[in-house]
Amino acid sequence: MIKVQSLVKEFIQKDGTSFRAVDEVTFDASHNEIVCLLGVNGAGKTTTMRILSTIFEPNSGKAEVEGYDVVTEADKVRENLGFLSGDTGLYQRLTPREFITYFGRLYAVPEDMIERRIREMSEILDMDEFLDKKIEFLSSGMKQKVSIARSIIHNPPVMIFDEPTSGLDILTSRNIVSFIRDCRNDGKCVLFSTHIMREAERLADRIIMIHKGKVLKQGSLAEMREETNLSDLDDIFIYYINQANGELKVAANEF
Amino acid sequence: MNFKKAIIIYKKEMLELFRDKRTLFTTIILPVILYPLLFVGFSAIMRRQVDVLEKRGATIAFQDSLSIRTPETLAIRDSIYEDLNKIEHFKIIPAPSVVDKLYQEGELDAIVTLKDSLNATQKPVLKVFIRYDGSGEKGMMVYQKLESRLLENLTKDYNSKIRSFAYRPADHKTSGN
Repeated sequence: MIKVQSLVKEFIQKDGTSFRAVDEVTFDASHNEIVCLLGVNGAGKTTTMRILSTIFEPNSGKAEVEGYDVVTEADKVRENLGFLSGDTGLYQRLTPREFITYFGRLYAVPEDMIERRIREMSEILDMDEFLDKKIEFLSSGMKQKVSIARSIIHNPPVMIFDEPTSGLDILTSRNIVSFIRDCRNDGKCVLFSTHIMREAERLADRIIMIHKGKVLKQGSLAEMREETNLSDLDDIFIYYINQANGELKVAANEF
Repeated sequence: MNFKKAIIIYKKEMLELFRDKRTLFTTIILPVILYPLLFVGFSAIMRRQVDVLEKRGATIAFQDSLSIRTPETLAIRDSIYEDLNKIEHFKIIPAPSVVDKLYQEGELDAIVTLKDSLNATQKPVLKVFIRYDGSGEKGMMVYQKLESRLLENLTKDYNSKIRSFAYRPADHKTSGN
């Protein structure tokens, strides 16, 4: 499970001023649940995910993965987490099999288990035909599948996918969406971000809308529909964004 | 990071390296081909230079410009002269009065001049000057042979004499054309 409490992350910009990318973000995600982070570009989704995956340290607040603190127990967090970043680097001259095996060994997964996991993931993600081709010759979709397989080779209980279907064709996207759903059905805790509302509608048990580093709204799609009287997630998202911008304007005028 | 993980990363790096044709070529194949080629090439050039020198030989003028003419200085002069004469294919002749003209006309390959002077403590110092044409292969070869011979014998055979005369091999000087 994931627990995030009043998380803050600030970056120092070139002009010396600080920019708060994540501002008092609080949420949680449980096993058997898919939680979707929604937000415009620069909203703070990726930064939040990177803090959870121990890439960044927060300035304040607390984040836990499977009960382990992301700052003080980073090794334990990484053991329990599969993180698919939007810009995962792949070793171009290795084959997917070698690449996944390499990460499996780094995670200290036994050799027979690695082979079994590769077979399983190859079947689920439809990777059989390119498993032994060099990564440099693979398409974007194939590479994304390899990245996903790499991130979950150690079968972690918590999975974080940062825009897993970005730039992929419809067939590959469907395949990945279906895979994420299967992860949830296997009892895993899944946190993912996307710009594709339809994907969020189909997958998410709960949606967390992030805007300018703050959590704007969180709840199930049904709750949001009820509150806004809108059915389409696109409209719901824009409704909340406008509401937040309006509120911000009001606050600015009052000030 | 533990040792096991370091080994895993090392193996992966090696695997990647040996699959990168460009890196393989520049780091392994190219040196393997290039170094023997360079070695063979330089050896051939050196052999050719030696052959040229042996075929043509070299004429060197030995110029005695000593002002302190004691039995010791003259003995050193004679030793140097004899030593230089022992160099194969080199003809050492006493410098004629028109030595500069002959050198300019290319009749001489180098001029070895023995001079003396007083150092700061008023002790006499012997200096050997070699004038040669540094622009050509032959000139360089002649100079190298003369220099190595002089350095070798100055430090070996008449070291004691030189010391008594306050001469140090480091004082040995050369000059270009």
